[in-house]
Amino acid sequence: MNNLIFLFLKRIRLPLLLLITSYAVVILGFVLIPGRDDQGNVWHMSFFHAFYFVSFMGSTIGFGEIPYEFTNAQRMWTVFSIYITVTIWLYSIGAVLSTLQNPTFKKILRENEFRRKIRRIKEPFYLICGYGDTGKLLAHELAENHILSVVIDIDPERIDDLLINEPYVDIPALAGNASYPEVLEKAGLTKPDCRGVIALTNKDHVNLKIAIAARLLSKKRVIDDSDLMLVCRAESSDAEANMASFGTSHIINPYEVFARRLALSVRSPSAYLVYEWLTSVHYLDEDDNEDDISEGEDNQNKSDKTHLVREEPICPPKGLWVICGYGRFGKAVARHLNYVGIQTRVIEAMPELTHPPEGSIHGKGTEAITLREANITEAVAIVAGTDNDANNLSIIITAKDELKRVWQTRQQNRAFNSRYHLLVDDELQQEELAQEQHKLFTVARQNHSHNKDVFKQAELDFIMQPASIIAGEILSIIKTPMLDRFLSLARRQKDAWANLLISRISSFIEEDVPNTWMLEISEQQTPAVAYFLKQGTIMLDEMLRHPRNRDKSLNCVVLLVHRKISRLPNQKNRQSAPSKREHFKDYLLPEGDFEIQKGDQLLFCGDSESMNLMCWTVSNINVYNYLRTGYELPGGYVWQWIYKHKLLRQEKLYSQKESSGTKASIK
Amino acid sequence: MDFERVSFAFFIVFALTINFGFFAGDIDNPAHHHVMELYAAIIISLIATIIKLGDRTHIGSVLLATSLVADLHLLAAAFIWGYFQHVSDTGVTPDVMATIVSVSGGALIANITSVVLLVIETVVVRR
Repeated sequence: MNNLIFLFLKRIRLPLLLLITSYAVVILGFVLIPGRDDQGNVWHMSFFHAFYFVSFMGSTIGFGEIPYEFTNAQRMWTVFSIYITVTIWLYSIGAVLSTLQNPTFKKILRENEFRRKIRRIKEPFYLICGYGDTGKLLAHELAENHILSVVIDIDPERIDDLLINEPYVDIPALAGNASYPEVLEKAGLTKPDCRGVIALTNKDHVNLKIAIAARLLSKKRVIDDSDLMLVCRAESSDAEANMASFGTSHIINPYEVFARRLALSVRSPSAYLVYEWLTSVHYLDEDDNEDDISEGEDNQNKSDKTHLVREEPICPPKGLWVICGYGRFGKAVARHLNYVGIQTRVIEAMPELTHPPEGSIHGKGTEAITLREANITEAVAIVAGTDNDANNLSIIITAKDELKRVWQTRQQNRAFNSRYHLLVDDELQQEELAQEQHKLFTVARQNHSHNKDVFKQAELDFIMQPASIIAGEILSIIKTPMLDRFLSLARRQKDAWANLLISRISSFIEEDVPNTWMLEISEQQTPAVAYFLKQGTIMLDEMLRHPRNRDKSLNCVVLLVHRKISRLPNQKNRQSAPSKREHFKDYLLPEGDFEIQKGDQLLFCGDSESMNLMCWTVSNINVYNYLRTGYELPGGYVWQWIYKHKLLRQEKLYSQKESSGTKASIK
Repeated sequence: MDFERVSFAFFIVFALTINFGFFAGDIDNPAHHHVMELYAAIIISLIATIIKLGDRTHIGSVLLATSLVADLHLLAAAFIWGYFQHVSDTGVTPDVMATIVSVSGGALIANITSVVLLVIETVVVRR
């Protein structure tokens, strides 16, 4: 604030000086110049009268000559004074206005406003460094989920962009270089409310600097998901290793993430679908929403909705894959595909820089001749992974055209052969094979989000958008930290397991993306469950019953139970070595008879209605009692007293039933 | 030699001297206190205030404060003079003149503080 006042004062110093000097001279002139009163005597204006006259002379000329009519000498001085004071007034007002319009002044004004906003923040927030495609998507999603974020970007234009993109949410934004620690500090890094720093700039070394600054500026805090989360985007493995070396909680390499997903989809399409369902961003364009409203009744159109989520699992073929571009993306894809046993062939424009494996083809991939050299007709899939969107599209289109051309010549050949009865059986089979292969699996890398529409039109099987990949990953980390754990466990499961999960989820998810949420069995989060846990064991099934009709169950499944294993028996040992590490046990897709313990963390997946109902049941003792026993608990003290006997009997019955049930099972 | 330093010191010292010129003399004798002197004191004091604006140092802000105090005193004195001369029927009697001069005495103290601070700053900087 002080900066602002001082800058302003400094700027208006000269105009003020000029104003005072001119007034001084003019007033002095009026006092010294002799005038005449109505009797014709020589009369000198007093300072009071002179100041009065000069004051209105500058602004509203025309009050007249007071208190007595002026002499010619006075009039001459008035003419001079008018021009002097009016000019200086105009200059002063202009100077003040231009100071207010000054970019530096505006910048300071904005920074002050930003600082005030940061100071007023009373809720947890995330610091997003870099408002590019990814930052934009992430900030939007966080705002949709009612999570506050603070944005820093080096480009002031992008900060202006934020105001246009998010008109309904007040996201504090600062134009500044995030690699300077003071900028990070200004943005509230050191505030205890800052829950995480997300470095999304497109330069690895800037992200690295942010990570280092975050680590050093908040020494008292633990770099961990529960305290201060540190998420970095990294594009090279060097930077990744460097970031990991000082405790960055999550490092997201978009190419690695995508390549891993692609490999997963090749190995197990169902597992990939689960992955996509759970991490997808609920991002819908406004145009698409309008479409949905106008064509809402048409079911056919509903399935065409441009969700980032597919209804059907995609099935990438196994065979030869052609990869165009062997940069960071191409390398990651090739490595992960080779890992799951897919043969790859690389086309690279600058082999001397990227060192592709032997047998690679030198060329851009945008010309038919290079593709022919790579035997595109034999390949089952093509990956366009250069850093140029136009080239990527061109590669895909050229490859498709090439296949079409080959297929057409073969058709002609066959027609020719059949006409002259030259057909051999072997050849026929081969040609039919070629006909089937006509469908080429296409994967393209989309570098810029503004090319979205073109890529959508290109009918690609798989589009790699770094922005939505990174945003999706980070969002799932922020919203449901357990999801990350679940997915890493799920990746190791077999296809059959994923199919089972899909059939369970898709039984109640119709068109929407499934919601995932997390509950911890504790007094704070689930008071009702904690209350009944003191009285006896609780099965997982019980929690999943519908609160309006306990015979039905909610539309959700439990994906994961995460349990802390306390090491109570050897307490001495624990005291002597107070290591912070606790032992965990994870139960993947637990069955209905799973016994819940206090402190368990549960990850659910289901529709949004179930999510709300579940929040109700686990916190309301009366509702939960209904789920447990089928009876409703009276609310007030009087009714509780009246029903006490009934309740006691009811509990007895329940315990008897349970004990008989366990006896039966023992037998 | 820096023109800014020269003008800075000039106006601060000038404000004091001219203020003293008005103050000096019998306190209730209108003949000893000329209206022109008060006018000059006000103008110089205002200019000194403007010159002090925008200095971010600690001593700079104290200097600005003393100057503002001097301005207030001198303007008050001018207002009293103008009121009794033109609005009230009494005119400028020795009583009124005593009031005006004593008020301007307050400004004199403020201006002395200003000059003392200036001298201290100069001694400390030693350049």
